[in-house]
Amino acid sequence: MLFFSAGIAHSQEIREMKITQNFNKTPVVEFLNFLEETCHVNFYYKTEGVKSVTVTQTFKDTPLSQVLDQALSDTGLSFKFFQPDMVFIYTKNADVHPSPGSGESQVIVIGDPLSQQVQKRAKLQGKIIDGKTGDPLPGAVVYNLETKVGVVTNSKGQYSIEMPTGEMSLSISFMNFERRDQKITIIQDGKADFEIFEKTRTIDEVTVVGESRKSSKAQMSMIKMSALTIKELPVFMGEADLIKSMVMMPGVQSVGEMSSGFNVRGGNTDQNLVLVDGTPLFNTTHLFGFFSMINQDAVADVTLYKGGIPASYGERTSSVLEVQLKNGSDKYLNIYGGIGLIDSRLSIDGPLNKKKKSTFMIGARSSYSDWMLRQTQNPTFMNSVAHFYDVNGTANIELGPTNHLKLSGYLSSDVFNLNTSTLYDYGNALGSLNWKLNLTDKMISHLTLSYSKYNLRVDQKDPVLPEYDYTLKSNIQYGSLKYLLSLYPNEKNHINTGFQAIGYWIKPGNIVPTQTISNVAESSMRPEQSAEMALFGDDDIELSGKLALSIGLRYTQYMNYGPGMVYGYEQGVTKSSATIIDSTNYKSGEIIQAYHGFEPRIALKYNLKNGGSVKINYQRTHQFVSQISNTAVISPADYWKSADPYIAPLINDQIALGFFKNPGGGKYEFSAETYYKKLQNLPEFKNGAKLLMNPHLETDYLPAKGYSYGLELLAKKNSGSLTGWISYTYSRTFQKADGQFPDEKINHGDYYPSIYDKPHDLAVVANYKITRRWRFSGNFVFSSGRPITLPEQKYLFQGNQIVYYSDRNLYRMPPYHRMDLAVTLDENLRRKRMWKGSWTFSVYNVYGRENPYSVFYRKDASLQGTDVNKTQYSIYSLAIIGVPVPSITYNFRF
Amino acid sequence: MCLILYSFSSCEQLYHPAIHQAGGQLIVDALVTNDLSQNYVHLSKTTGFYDANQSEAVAGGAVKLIDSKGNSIAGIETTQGSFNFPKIPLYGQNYKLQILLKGDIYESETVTMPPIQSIDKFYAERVEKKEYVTDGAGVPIPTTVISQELYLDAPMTADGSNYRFVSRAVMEWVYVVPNTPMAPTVYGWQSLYNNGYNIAGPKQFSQSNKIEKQPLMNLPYNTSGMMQTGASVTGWIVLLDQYGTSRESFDYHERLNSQLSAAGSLLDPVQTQIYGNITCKTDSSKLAFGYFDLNSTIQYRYFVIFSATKPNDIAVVRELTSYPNIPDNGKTVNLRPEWWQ
Repeated sequence: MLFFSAGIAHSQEIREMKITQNFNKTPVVEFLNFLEETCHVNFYYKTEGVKSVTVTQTFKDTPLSQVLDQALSDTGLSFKFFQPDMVFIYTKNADVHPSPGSGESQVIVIGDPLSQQVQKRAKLQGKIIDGKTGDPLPGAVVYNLETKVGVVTNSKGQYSIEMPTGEMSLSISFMNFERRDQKITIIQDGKADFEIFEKTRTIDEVTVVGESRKSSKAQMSMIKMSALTIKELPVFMGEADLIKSMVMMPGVQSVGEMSSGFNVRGGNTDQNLVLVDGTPLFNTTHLFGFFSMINQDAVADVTLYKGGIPASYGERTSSVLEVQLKNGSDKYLNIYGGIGLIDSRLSIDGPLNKKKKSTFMIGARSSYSDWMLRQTQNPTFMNSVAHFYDVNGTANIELGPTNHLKLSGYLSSDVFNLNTSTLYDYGNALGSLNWKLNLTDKMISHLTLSYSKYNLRVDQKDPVLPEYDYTLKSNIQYGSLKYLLSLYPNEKNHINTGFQAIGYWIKPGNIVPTQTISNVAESSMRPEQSAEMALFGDDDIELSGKLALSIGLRYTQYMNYGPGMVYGYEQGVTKSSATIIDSTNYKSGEIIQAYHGFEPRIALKYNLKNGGSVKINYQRTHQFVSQISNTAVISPADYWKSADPYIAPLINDQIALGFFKNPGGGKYEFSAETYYKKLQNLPEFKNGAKLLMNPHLETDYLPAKGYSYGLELLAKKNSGSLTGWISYTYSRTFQKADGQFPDEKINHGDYYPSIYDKPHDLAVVANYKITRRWRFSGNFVFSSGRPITLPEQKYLFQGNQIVYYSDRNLYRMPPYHRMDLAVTLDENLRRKRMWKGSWTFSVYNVYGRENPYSVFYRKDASLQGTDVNKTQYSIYSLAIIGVPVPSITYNFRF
Repeated sequence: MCLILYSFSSCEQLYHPAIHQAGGQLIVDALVTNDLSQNYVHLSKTTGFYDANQSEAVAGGAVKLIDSKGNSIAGIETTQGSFNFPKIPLYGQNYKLQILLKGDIYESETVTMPPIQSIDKFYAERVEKKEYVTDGAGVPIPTTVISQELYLDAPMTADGSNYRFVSRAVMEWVYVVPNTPMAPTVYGWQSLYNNGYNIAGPKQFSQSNKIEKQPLMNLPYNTSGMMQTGASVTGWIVLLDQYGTSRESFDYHERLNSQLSAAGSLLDPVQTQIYGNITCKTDSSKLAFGYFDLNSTIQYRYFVIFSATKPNDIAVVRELTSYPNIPDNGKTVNLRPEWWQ
């Protein structure tokens, strides 16, 4: 048995010890003995592996690490420091990593062998690292085969697992990587980093993690997805997309192919807080919603909270999607990217300095879709413009062993004009600073400073009437300071507490003429300023082996402040521009309107005897800014509006109950969740509402009530040749606007289905390894059609046929279903090969289903006569992508 | 690659969902103007959306125009469901329309009769538009289409700043058998109409105090499909009806246009529900569609000449002072119609 000791080697002093000595054909055992005596360091090695090796070198004041480097350079041996005074000598063969069935049984000793029996339990911490690139691996699983307890690494690839002292067997796994089975003897608390290597056959294991295995927390309604999983799903035009991957999970839907964002449990798109390294992103899609705003190469992992949102999060009511950008490798410089049909991307990461303690990552993506549009032979698209780019970067600076600073930045730009005289130009700019400091072993301080800006510019250019050309600009700026203190009083208790201060600065609209001689009057909507303050705290307590409780509270205070003006309206009549009777002006800084509220967050988990668990949670959330839109699909031109005296904050109460079971040691996962949501102050608008540049939006605004409920089922297979999942959601969502006056009622004041009410939603995702170099993936999605409003009656008026529509959302589109397939070929599987490339061939919408994007009516030419009174209309469905779309993408890394 | 590019082409297909088609709701199409020939109230019923039958006229009704003093003008039923008024309304007076039908009373909102407005300028401009024509293989080819766009300028005053225009262009063409001196000359004409509701009023974000360059209709250079082969166009008679309307009428017609333009939109169309200014006073559950429009009206006529062979030449516009009736289309041999220009 090979015996060696391991741990994070803080052995800088020993490594720096100077050696002066001549060695001439000195047997390596003798060489190592000399070093042991000189430097008081212990070497561990297999005698039979080194006995034939000799050393012939002269050293003068050479540091120990260099001595070992030079002496062993041509010997086929390598070395590694584990504990400060322990060095492991091993055969330099990258393929010799412990793996199941290898028959090699290496044991890592954690702690001082002289301290055996001192501790009954010990905590092991460390990192799981990609042995090839040095990248930390978020989402990797460290599983104790003896205690059947596992943990998942965080966004920095770090893990922490507690276990009884003694001999243990760990299984370390990560998708696309060889599983590493590692025996350890743990004596006391210690640290160990483990390297794992990509599989020679690069078949992916799906590691979408619904819940952390055997998590002591009562967290539920959470989806965690690694970047590699997202990259493996077949997608439109071969472009990996985190949002389109998320909608494969239960409870997450999208309106359609050309829709921005996603809908969680029936919520509007603007009710999702999308955080990029802690900073909100206000527009989440490029190119009409075809692609996510975030370059997949930059993403480490993604976590979506559909419910049970921790108290440290607020701001939006439906969900929190937390995107962690990658840290650069601290060992190597990596260059990677991809060439696709619509866009190409390139990223670079690596160490920032020679000490390799700080890292950077920078990536960019740009489209060439304009060229594609011109080739379509479709007049609508040939006269259109559509292009985008985005740039992202992170710098991870280690100020000390437990003191980290991360700077993140993101910039995006989109331009489109769909065969009209209106050009849309919009973009996001984000910046954040995250400072994490371990104050003690049991107290960690997190400080996050965030800034985000979303800009929209609309250029109206009319070649016939240039004197009416104008530019409309709007934007929202966001700044936040968030402080979070994490306390770990003991293994069974984890407390988070802190505060957050948020500022919103909104410019709803500004019209400027663009011609020197112009009939356009320059006008501006009043800017809005508001602040949101929050105090929060939550406690995860493991009450017993069976019972865990998470209890939290967030208190939010919101203020809309001046300068500003508020109109007064005549009482007893509906609000309209004609019923304005006065106005009140507010000075700069003067509070116009304040709202406040408590947001309790409670979750309970009970472990069942059969290995499953039952969880229940309740949460309340407030939202003080909303996107103003009266179309089914959110568009980039929709603007943001903060709560004011007439537009109250949106409030959501949600309760959820779930059953979870991970049989087969985590090989399978099953979950069933049911939820009920109640919403107050949902923004709705009157028929024919004018939303753009409306200085008194309250005259068209209707505060609606809503409720949603649903059942979400998920079955997953996490390992083996065939992996994947099946998710099914049954959900309903309704709302009603029942104001005092007739024009304040929709559908007579009754509840009606929301535009996002899609009762049935099924997703089947499968990955299958064919050979060492070929892998296959496919998915099938089915969902009910979304509600629509259709014409029911028609009549002739002044020579034109006019229609009368049904009640709002009375009908439903045909169901949506689609199958996508992809095959990936890896060019070369050798680990040491620097350039690694892969080809992905995918087909989106394999059987060419013409899924309707919209339903409309128009005159049916085949039925027309000359008498306008006999005009015949027909209803049509419009499909955006009604044919199979093959694509090919080349991804590379070196 | 072609397949990938083709994927961008959106595709439409007929969709026939089962919908409720109750029908039978009252429609009031009422236009009262200062011109007795343009006073009418048509009462009819809505039909189901898929119904191929025309709207059925409503019999047994009675209509009245009531001014603010309570004086009324009774409508005379000319055909079933169609009424005319024997008098014209007075400028500046307020009127409402009242309909008695099967024991129910329907009433419009009160509307003020606007004064007759004028036109500052009527003119034509040559425009080039890039369009796509499909070749034999179905491939669209970019083509430049030349035409004369008709515009007008009109004042916006305190008395009235909202307009509706109905225009018709009558193309005159002549055919002479070539190289045959004794052959007869054929005089022909064909009408073009503007589509939808051409309305004008204060523009969004505008500070101008007049209607400028209001597009009326488009006169094409290529008229080969509209006349006898070998014929040539001699000019266009434009009949322009200008209606002075109210802001409410402008908004109503804007909603009508919004509904008419929503069809076939690539982006998700917004349904515009149209409610008029007529309600049932005796039973609020009964709906009435349509609108009571009280307009001042005046007709202008112009003769527009431009050369198809010299497309860069400026069009000549001449105002006409006579207003004879012109049939929609037709032709005569050797006999020039009296209204011919």
